[in-house]
Amino acid sequence: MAKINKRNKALAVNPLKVSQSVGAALAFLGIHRAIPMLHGSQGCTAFGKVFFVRHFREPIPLQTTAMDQISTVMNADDNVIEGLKTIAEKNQPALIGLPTTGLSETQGTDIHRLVKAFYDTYPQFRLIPVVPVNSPDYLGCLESGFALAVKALLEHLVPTTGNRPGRRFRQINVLVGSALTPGDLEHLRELIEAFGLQPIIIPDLADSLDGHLPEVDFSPITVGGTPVSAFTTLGESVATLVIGRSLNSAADWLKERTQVPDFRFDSLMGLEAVDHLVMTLAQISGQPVPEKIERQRAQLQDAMLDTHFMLGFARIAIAADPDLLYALSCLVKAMGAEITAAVAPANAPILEEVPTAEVKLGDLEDVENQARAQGAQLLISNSHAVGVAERLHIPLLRVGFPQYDQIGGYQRLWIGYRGTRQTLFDLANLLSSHQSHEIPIYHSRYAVRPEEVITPFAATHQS
Amino acid sequence: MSALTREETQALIQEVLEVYPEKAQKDRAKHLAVNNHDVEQSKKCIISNRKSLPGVMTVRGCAYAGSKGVVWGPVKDMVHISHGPVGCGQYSRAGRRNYYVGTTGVNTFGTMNFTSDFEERDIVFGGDKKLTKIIDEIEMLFPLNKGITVQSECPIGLIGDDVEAVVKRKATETGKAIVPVRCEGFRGVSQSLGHHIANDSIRDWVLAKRDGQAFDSTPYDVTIIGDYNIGGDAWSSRILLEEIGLRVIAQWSGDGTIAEIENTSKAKLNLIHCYRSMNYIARHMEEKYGVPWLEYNFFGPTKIAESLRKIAACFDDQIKEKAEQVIAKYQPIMAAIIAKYKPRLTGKKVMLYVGGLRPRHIIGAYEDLGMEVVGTGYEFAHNDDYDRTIKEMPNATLLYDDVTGFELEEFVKRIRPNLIGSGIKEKYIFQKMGIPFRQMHSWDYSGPYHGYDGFAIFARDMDMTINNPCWNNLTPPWLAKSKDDTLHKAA
Repeated sequence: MAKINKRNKALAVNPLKVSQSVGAALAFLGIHRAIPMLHGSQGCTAFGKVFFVRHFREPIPLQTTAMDQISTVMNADDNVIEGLKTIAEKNQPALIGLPTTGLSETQGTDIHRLVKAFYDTYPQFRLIPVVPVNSPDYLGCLESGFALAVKALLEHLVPTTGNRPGRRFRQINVLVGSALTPGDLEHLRELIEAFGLQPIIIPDLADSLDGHLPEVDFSPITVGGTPVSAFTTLGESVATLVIGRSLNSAADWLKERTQVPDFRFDSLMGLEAVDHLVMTLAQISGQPVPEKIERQRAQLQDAMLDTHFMLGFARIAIAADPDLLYALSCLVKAMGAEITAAVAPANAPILEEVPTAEVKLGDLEDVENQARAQGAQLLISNSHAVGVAERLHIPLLRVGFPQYDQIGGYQRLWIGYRGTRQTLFDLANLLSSHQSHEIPIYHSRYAVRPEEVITPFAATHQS
Repeated sequence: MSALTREETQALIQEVLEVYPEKAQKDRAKHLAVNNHDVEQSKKCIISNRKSLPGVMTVRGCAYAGSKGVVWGPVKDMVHISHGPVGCGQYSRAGRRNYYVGTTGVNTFGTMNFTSDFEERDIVFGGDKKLTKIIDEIEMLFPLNKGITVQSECPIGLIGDDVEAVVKRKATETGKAIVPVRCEGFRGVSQSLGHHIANDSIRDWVLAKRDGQAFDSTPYDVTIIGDYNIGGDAWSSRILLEEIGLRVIAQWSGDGTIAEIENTSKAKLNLIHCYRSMNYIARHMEEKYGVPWLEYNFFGPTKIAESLRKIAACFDDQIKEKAEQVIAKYQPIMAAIIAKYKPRLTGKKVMLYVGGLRPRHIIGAYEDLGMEVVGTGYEFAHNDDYDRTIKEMPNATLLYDDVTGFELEEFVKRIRPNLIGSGIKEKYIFQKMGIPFRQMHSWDYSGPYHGYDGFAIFARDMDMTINNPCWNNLTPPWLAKSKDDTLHKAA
């Protein structure tokens, strides 16, 4: 069990943390025909939008309640109500997400009351669900904001009646955390479908932000994702898969509401974790494991054999949000590597289970110092860590948010046998391309040295 | 399609406005206009610097963006603390490429991100103690810093922290410039007020520091104000100023230092590139120190030559002569660039939507390449910006202020420009529509675009984007109807 080292300095140098507000907004981007509106100043949305546009290289639907000095001091109720009305009227979305920010939370907004007030003022928009979520950026991190929004979505959209678990005997609910990329979700869907099951992935970023050229010109709302209507059938599914410990609270709520049995996975990286998923799917579906998947497992086994030379005892530093930190740590640990530095931006129960002596809650300066002191050979973190890796003269494998300096990070596959195999290859390649196995050249003590030949015979004899 | 007539442009605006409810229609109508050279003052035709509507996505930022992101951020030898929660500094990190010389983390800090990363207890109990501790930590970790700015984020303004008191105490202790900037994001209607607040903080906390101190000046001392050295812009401008015999004593603020800022009032002339973000301080120096200021434009050979002559006219004959020599020296190089790219770009239509100075300054560079700017607008301009724009834009073209995503998209659909120049938030919208797009804030990670050196890169970049073969592959062959027909006919 890892010891959690709390932050002990006031200054954050090169923070690792991305705030909750945009984490919540991201979850809403995985719902079809949805749009999140951040309750805060224009800058919150402008910056949040740039943050995701640079990561995904996609247009990002994101709105703002545009709080200015007057609405900040007096009250910003009208900003929320009128903002919701404008969006509802102009874009006819299927859902509006309403995360709060540090500004509106400090001001003390009651976002849930405002949604009621909106419906009272404009009853014609009653059918458009508005999902508020308290996500101030002085708490948690991107992962926790994402999880809060997933829970809020369930609370607002899953009906109280009509629960008949197993009625749709092929349908399974899949709650996914922020650690999974659109590429991961695409693969997860394939895996589940290979067992003849139909997944409802919540939220389905693979359908909205996988980077494709859509047929429609431009849409101010999301062009893909989980349909809002799917939420009404969650209570009829045969099972729920929960990927990521951060979603525990959302999963507890869903289980209590629907009585659908759930299966929880802290990670889908590494042989054991994926085995667990595949066995579960076989159990739920009553189907044998498809040959295709057996083949993928065999490929991963071979990759493990091929890479264990590079990864055994490799000294790896990881800085990421809790679920991702846990998954990656377990993966490299299972390959015989050592975790020399583990840093998370905010606390979470799963951090205690990271297979290392201690986890630091801190910033990229912490990971830099610890990696240097411990002689790390490879760093796993987001694009902001490029400078850290350069200064340490070690390679960087990019994970999490944001990834802006290389193309395609948003689409990368990490999970399953296939994703794990690729990760192992990449880790091994990065390590071997940055290391030369150099030992000092040995000269035989009896060898005749060049200088002895050149120096005059007499000179050597005098000494 | 040739350029629209005045009537057609007006009709286009009307059509786009029609979807709005009446009140919004009235409001937005004031922000859209047909350019008219007969109008002297823009306030007669366009309204700007007004509040954006909630729920109507604007691409505008906030005061923090204007201060930390634009004005203060590039001052390289200071540590800029994003004071408050982690979000603001982290979302925006590495967004602007303000190039600089120095060893990051040792004597320069430009690409780093410093924040007080507020937690709930800081909101409840206040952050002054934390700030005190942070300043101590900075002094310990980065002793070669030449000063610190405290960039306030939204909650600071609400919880009532006395940042100024902390800063004053610490400045006396350390003897360094420590500047509080009250640029809370909720202030003002856009990043523009952030520029103003940042300018005022320079005026109040920095500028007078070396008043009365000796300065080894020459008659040719000038400064570059409002150039953030994005992709090296300030350097490619400075080359020219030095070539004509002037001495640049300060760069504001790209690759700039606090010492340069403190010395600025000793200049003979302040040269302003981005008027919007730094006119305030130039006016202040004119009033207090009698330093005149002059706007210039270093985009494209026509405007560069014009500006070099204008600048040289403020000095003696020696400078004027050198300016002519420099213009003559670059003339054949520019002619070669134009000969290479103009045939591939001529007649192409461009729509711009940017901030600061660019919606008007870049027009000349496009025209040098035979391209035509058919619409332009600003995210956060004031009316004095539009006063300056009217003269630069061709008659009867489209002007739009704080344009919404919907409006811009409709204009684009109707006008079908060959190129759009705007920001990253808009980029993928239009790129996915199949319209070539260049980011004109960050130069799409290219640059510089200023100066003669920059024009060569600018011309190449525009050609690279507009004439890339990928634009021909947007429709799958099985959906390309007209081609099918010709195949059938051939068969």
